[in-house]
Amino acid sequence: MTGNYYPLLKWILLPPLAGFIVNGLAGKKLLGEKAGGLLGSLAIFTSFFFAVLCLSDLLSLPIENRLLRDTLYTWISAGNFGVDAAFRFDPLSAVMALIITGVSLLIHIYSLGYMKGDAGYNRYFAYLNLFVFFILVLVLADNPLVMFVGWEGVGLCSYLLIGFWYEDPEKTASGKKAFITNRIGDAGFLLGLMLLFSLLAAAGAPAMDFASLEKNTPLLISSTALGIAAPTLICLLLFFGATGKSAQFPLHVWLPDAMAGPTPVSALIHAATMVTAGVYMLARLHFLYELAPKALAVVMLTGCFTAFFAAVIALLQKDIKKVLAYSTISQLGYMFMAAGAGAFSASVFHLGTHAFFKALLFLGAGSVIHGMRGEQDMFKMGGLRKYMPYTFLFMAAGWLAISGVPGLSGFYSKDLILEKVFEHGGRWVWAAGVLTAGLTAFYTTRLVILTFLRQPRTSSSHAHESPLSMTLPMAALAAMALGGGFMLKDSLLIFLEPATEAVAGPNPHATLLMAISTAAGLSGIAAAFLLTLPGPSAFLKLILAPAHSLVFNKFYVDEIYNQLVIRPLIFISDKVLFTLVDSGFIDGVLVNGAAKTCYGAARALRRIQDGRLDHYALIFALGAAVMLYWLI
Amino acid sequence: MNAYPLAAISYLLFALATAGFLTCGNLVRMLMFLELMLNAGNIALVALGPPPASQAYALMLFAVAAAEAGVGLALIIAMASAFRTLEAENIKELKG
Repeated sequence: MTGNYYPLLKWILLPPLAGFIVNGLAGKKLLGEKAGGLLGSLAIFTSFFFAVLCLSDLLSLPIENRLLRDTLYTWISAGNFGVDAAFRFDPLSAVMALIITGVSLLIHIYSLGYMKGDAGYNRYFAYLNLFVFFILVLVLADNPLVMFVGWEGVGLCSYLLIGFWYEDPEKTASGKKAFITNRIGDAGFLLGLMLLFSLLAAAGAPAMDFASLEKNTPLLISSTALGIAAPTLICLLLFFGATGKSAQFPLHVWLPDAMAGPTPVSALIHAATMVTAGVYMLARLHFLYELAPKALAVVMLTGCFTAFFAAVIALLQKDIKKVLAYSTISQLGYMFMAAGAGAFSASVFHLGTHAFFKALLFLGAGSVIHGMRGEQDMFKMGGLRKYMPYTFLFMAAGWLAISGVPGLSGFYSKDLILEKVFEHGGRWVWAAGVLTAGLTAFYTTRLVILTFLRQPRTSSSHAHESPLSMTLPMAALAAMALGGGFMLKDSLLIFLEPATEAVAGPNPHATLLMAISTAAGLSGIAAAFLLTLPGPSAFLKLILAPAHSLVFNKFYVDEIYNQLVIRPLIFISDKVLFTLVDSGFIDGVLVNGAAKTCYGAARALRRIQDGRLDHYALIFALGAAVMLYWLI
Repeated sequence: MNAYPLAAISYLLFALATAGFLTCGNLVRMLMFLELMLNAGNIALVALGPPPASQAYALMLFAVAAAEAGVGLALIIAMASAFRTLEAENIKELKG
């Protein structure tokens, strides 16, 4: 086993779990609202503190040996197959753990104000703590099985939090949709893991921790499964899992519906952390993906398509959170595009900056919704700048960061991704990426204009600025969104990839590429200012009416799924499985059939027992005679 | 002493008793035919068994037959008082 034994690692995980248990079991009765919320936030703060402590110890190690490990116990031991409940802390885990605990801490504090007075206040913080626990298990796991525990756990928490207001059947339905869609992806993930394990075991290397996997996966390069090269198939199956968790086409449909949950949840789970689990998984298993260039191409094209497709949908959404949801899908597409181009650390960099500015945008949207007393339709807002100056200020920071304004965080990460894609993926993918960057700038600007600028469209005089507990976390995130990219752009990449970064020289086209993508972003902003004026928007609506309805209805993906998947499934479940198999065969033939057979046989046989003594005697005599004949 | 004529008598007696048991409907008669069957078995025992033991068994079987007749008659009396008849075909309570 490589890596240094480091018992402090479990202390990152334990506080959120403890917070969940205390708040979940005894919160409402013992702690009440205030103490419960503080306890939840304190748990995350402790976790963050330990993560920073671990990071400082990690940084004190020599560069080529930066790995801390903590094995709790042997989880599975079956023959030569063994899995430990083990955790690791290397640069990638460190970055993820810090982003997660940091952003979670801010969102916990924000939630103190946002959820005030909610009946399920303690339940909310319990779920949120549980979520942080599971996502930390996911990113700190030292083998794919422990990672899968976290993977499933965050799915569960996502379901619980989307359907948090369970009295509303629509919201519980959204939760179920998210869970089921994720399960479809998880099936792929699980199949990929099983295939990986069985092939590795057959190759005589059943060890499952990531370090051994990295050493052993080259053994698989010549083996095949189902006529496809084994690494390609494994990577595609795992990537299918990632499309579920990270809401990539074709499994993206759950994320917009996930906005039914409380807004801080959308910020934390459905923008900053959980949905990036797929990207993290790809970065963690990059050694496997590097063996499968075809799978990487699939990843890149899926990411590219999703980025563009979701950005187009986001252009016309009315609901402020839906815009951000599609924007998240689109930005996740960027990350996959980068991963597909082999630039895993670039995708993790974008993951980090995206966590800052998207969480910020969501928190800003939450603040707006809070101020507007639950109104989410942007066409009923407008002019809120006057009433919510701080929210506007922070939201503007997020807006400029995501639009790729030079010097802000989104600019650095997006630019890096586009540069890598240009090198490895070719012009068309790059062009789609640039176009998406323009669209991103457009829809975010549109959101800001419709919400904060121009004249109010409805009476929004009741709108009020949010309390300090909500604006302070936004200020912190805004600082990160503005300055994070500049601060981290070199140090983070070197931290993640100490060896490779030094080799790659600067791209000769870098300046030109940067100029083009910046121009795309700025023209997106300009176009948004222009086209949202009443005149041009009416004109556009007139000439693009059919396209408008197509885009507004999200390309009818939900409807297509409904027709192609859900209705046949319901039909098969109802008519075949229920009517034919369950009530027909199992109930009819097996259960009632057995009873009917007994009944019929008894009806036939009861004639024998007619109560006549002489008949009995005759049968008895005959039987005795037959037996006698038999014996002699 | 030749055992075969005695055995033949015993078989004949048993066959006749069985035939009588099967054909008559009166419970008392059926009991009497049963006794005859038992006696046929007794004769076969004496005829074919090893001399001292089989005769001892035959003696014991007389006692058993007497006891069985007592029990049988008691049952018949009880049934006669319950059903007011001694014809077997009229007593059909145990019918499926």
